[in-house]
Amino acid sequence: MEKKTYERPIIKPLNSGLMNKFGTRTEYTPKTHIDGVKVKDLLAEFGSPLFVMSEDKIRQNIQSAQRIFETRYPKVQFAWSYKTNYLNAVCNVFHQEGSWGEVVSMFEYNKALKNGVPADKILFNGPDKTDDDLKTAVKNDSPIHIDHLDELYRLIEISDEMHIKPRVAIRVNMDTGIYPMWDRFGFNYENGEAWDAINKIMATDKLNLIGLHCHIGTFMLTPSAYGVAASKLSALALNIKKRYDKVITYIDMGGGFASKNTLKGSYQLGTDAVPDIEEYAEQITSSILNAGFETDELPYLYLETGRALVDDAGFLLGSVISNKRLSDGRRSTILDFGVNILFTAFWYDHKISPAQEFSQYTEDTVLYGPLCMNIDVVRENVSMPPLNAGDNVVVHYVGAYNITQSMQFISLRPAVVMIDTKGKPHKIKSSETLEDVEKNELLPTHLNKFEL
Amino acid sequence: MGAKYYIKLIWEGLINSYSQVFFSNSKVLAYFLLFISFFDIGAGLSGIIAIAIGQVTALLFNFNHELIRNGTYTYNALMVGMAIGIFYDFNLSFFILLVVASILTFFITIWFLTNLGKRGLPFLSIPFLLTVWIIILGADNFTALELHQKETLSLARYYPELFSGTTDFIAQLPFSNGIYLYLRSLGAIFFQFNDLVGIFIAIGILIYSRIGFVLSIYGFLIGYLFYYYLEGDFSQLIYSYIGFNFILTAIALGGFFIIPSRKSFLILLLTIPIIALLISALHTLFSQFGLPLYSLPFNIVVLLFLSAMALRHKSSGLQLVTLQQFSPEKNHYKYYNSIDRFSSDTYFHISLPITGDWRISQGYDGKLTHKGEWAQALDFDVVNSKGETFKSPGHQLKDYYCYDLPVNAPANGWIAEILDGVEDNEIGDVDLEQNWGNTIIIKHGEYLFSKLSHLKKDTIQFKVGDYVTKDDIIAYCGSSGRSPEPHLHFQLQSTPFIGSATLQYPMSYYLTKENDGYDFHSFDIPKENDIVSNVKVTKLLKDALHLIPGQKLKFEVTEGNRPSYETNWEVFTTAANSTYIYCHKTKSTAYFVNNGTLFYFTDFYGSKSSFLHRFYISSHKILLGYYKNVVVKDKLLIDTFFPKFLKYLHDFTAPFFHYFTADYEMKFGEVENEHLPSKIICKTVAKGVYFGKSTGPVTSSILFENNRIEEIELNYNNETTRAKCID
Repeated sequence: MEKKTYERPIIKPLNSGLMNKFGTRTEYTPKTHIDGVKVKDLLAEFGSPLFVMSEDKIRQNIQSAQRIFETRYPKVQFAWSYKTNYLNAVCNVFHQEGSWGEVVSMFEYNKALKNGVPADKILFNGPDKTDDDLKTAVKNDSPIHIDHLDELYRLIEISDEMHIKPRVAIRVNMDTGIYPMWDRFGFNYENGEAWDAINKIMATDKLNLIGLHCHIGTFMLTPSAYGVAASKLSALALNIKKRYDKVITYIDMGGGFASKNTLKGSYQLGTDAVPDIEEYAEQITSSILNAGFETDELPYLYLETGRALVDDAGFLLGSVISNKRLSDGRRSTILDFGVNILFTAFWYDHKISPAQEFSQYTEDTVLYGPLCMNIDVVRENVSMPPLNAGDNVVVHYVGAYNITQSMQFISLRPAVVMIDTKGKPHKIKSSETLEDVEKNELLPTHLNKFEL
Repeated sequence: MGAKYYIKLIWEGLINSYSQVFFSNSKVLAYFLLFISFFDIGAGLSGIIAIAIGQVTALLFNFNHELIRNGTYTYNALMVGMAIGIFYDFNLSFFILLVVASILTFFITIWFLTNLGKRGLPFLSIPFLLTVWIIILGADNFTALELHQKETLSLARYYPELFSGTTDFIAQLPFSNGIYLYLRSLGAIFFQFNDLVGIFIAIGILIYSRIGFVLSIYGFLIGYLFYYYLEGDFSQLIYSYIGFNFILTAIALGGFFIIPSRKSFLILLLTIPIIALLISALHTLFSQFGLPLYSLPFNIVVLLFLSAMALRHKSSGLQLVTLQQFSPEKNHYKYYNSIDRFSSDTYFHISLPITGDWRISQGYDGKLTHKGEWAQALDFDVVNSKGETFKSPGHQLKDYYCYDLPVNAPANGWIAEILDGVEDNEIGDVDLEQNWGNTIIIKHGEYLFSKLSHLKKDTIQFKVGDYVTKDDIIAYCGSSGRSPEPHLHFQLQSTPFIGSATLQYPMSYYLTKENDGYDFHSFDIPKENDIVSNVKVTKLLKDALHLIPGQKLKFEVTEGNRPSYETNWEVFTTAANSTYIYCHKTKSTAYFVNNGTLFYFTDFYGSKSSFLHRFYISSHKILLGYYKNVVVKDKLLIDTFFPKFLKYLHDFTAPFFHYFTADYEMKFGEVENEHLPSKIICKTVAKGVYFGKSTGPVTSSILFENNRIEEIELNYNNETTRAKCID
């Protein structure tokens, strides 16, 4: 029989009766295994803290998203949003499942190329594309999603110069009835800017307009907004067909589907508040199908879904450094990871589970990171069972935007492990070393020496 | 229309009249028979004159030129001419008789052509029979007509040793009596009762058709044996060699009006004895009037039999020839080729009522509910890569992958019946009261309805009487009725009621998911556990092969190292709405169909060395949707690949079994951009197969670009032919 763990005693007022906004009981069960691998073993082998990706979960997510869209619409293509998580291992799982690449910088573009994505299957988005970037993309025949008029003009010049007709789409922003409206990217639909840009493209024979792109927001909790957006893009495509007899190949609905994370300030838990992908799919596909396209001119539906496909496939494992009682009597626990590597802690109330068995007693707790900075708060208020130094925790839904946005700040960034579909962990990124960080540093000779 | 036109018309009509006697349109056979007819110069001449008089009459009275050209109006006149040419001396009075007889034959021909034609029956040699009997019965009255001295104008008189030599030669052969009878019976068709003519006619038949030749011997043998076993009076057969009725009937019913097959051979075992009986009976009757029977028994039996066949309740088994090819071989090969290729063309096109990949959770004759009167139904659901139908925990409808997915109209039609308002069941529950649940019935045509059941409550998008188009979303998948978990029930039925019995009916075109891609099915019934989806059409292929009437196709063709030439094709439509490509230079015609999912050729007439024929082979069937790894198979007519000699050998046994096949396969090459391919290469192989060996493969790659067929490269006999589209 395993030795029973010691738990320090706590005193807590008894909450009884109906469920209230704090819940009737702790939401947690211990998370001792990930895909059949013991959390403790992972930490012992790869150190703490540690990011863990589940290959099985990623595959399930993309397959199910494809199935959800393909059983509603005949022509669907997913493109993996590199900025969400561009670890090569993660990207390649998506590519193996048939996803193209969607990039927003030359750095990401080159990464996708290096991973082996054919250049004509890399969608080049983003407001910042230099002349050199554009030339590379034009030469490689990658679809370029134009963000603003200056880019449009530069592309016409480049096309003229290179005698190649680039394949382009324009990014369109629009009022879909939600706030905030992302009108900083692309051309506005309502004020006619988008149609104007289309006319400019069609007026020159330098560019081949093949698609229309939008990306109406992020962590969208209102599926109907996608229905509005898809209708508006379809209307544009049909107008192009009517005015110029040009069939638009694809409508790219961008990303923005919410994951099961809980946004800060949200009344309900993410798992309850967030729509299923089916709901987004139904809105988008029925809007396009009802728009009035000829059957053989139905555009492809491109999706750049990132977060919703990878967030729940990522876990952050960490350890308790110490416990403290704050001046107001609240319990606080210091963990060995902070906002430097769990960047999304700024906008999510992450679900955090202990990695070992615990009793039913919980206490309101503040979870702090290890940084010597006041901002380093992982959870401001969470009902947790008492944890001891050396205990482990698992943070859920961290697959999106953490590995790409984590900072090397104060401490070094941890390793990343991927558990394959057979339950075998593979290190897919080593933890950072001093050499890594200093690799690009140069020291002027006069600063070489000092005496103290 | 100048003199040239009329000369050509009359000449072709003349020649064709000869081959028509043997149900053929073969020129070679015609010249052969023309030659034989002059074995008796009088008969030969009066035959030609009779045809000419018939033609002049037809022209004077403005009859159909096409029927003049193919000899339909005049082959009876030819026989009348030859028959009386043998009897009478060639003088002015005979000539007058010939003119009158020919005109009479023509008008009788017209009457029977019209009145039998209405019933789809041939008039055979009835006009000839009637005319000849009238002459025989009436001629005694006119003393100016003289029965001519036997053999005055016959070759036999000038070269007797040629004829006796032939006879002597046969005498040494076994069964010489039988052979005499057979050959002379053949000769009797041309009113010349000698062995040499018989041999010539036998060779003529052999050239015309191997099946016909086998049939002539087979038919003759049956008749002969019938007489033999029933101890019939052989003198009846020897008298004017009336046994040719066996031969003609065998060719007519064994291979000309009926598709030659084992069954057509079997049926002769029944019909030839009838001929024998008729010969006997009619002989007794007609000898009273001194009238020869000629081909009367043949006419009676063929007409009787064909009209009976046409009135059958079900036309299975023996198949009547619907589009006459004037050759038992062509009738046979084209029929069996079209059975392989187009037997499904009569089906109304029904596609799967779904979008994307679905699974057949229960097929025809399923274990759960597809039983008895409702056995021919399909249940659909959606599974993940592990074969599960739901995501954990699966307690709610929305956990099921197929729940709330759109259901599409499988074909155009009118909404005939709707049932809505039935609650969707909790998982595991069934509603046995409203067991079909929410249901739509669509009428696609008379006696063809589709029924979609267990739909989600309140999602039906149409009302009764609405017209729906294929692929319209008509409702959403639910779990109402006898449905323990969400699924879609789909069946075809012949009556418009909820609860009607099911109808076995194939899905027109669909794909099944396999490990390495998809398999293409046409007019097939999906099986349980198949993962199925509809074919997605690729615009480039569809546009490139969307050939419209009046469209011109121009190619620059280079065959091997020879200088290139230009070929001009034009697309036409016939009165019967078939589309074809016509090559102006070689006067070749290739019939094709484009039904939106497939482009395929159906038939070819003309020069086999033309580039159009190569194109007809290499593009025999093309799927209009680009799919990696999908293979589309088809069959070609066997004469495409085999040397004439081998094919002729094959003809002898063709009605019984085929040991040659000509196979066709098509697949696509890699494309750069699957979503908007600027070019697609289609690779095809066509080859003949016999005894496990293959011959004469034609490999080709067809490049589709710029919304047209841009380039064709094909390899045949180690020679490469390239064709480039030019404007």
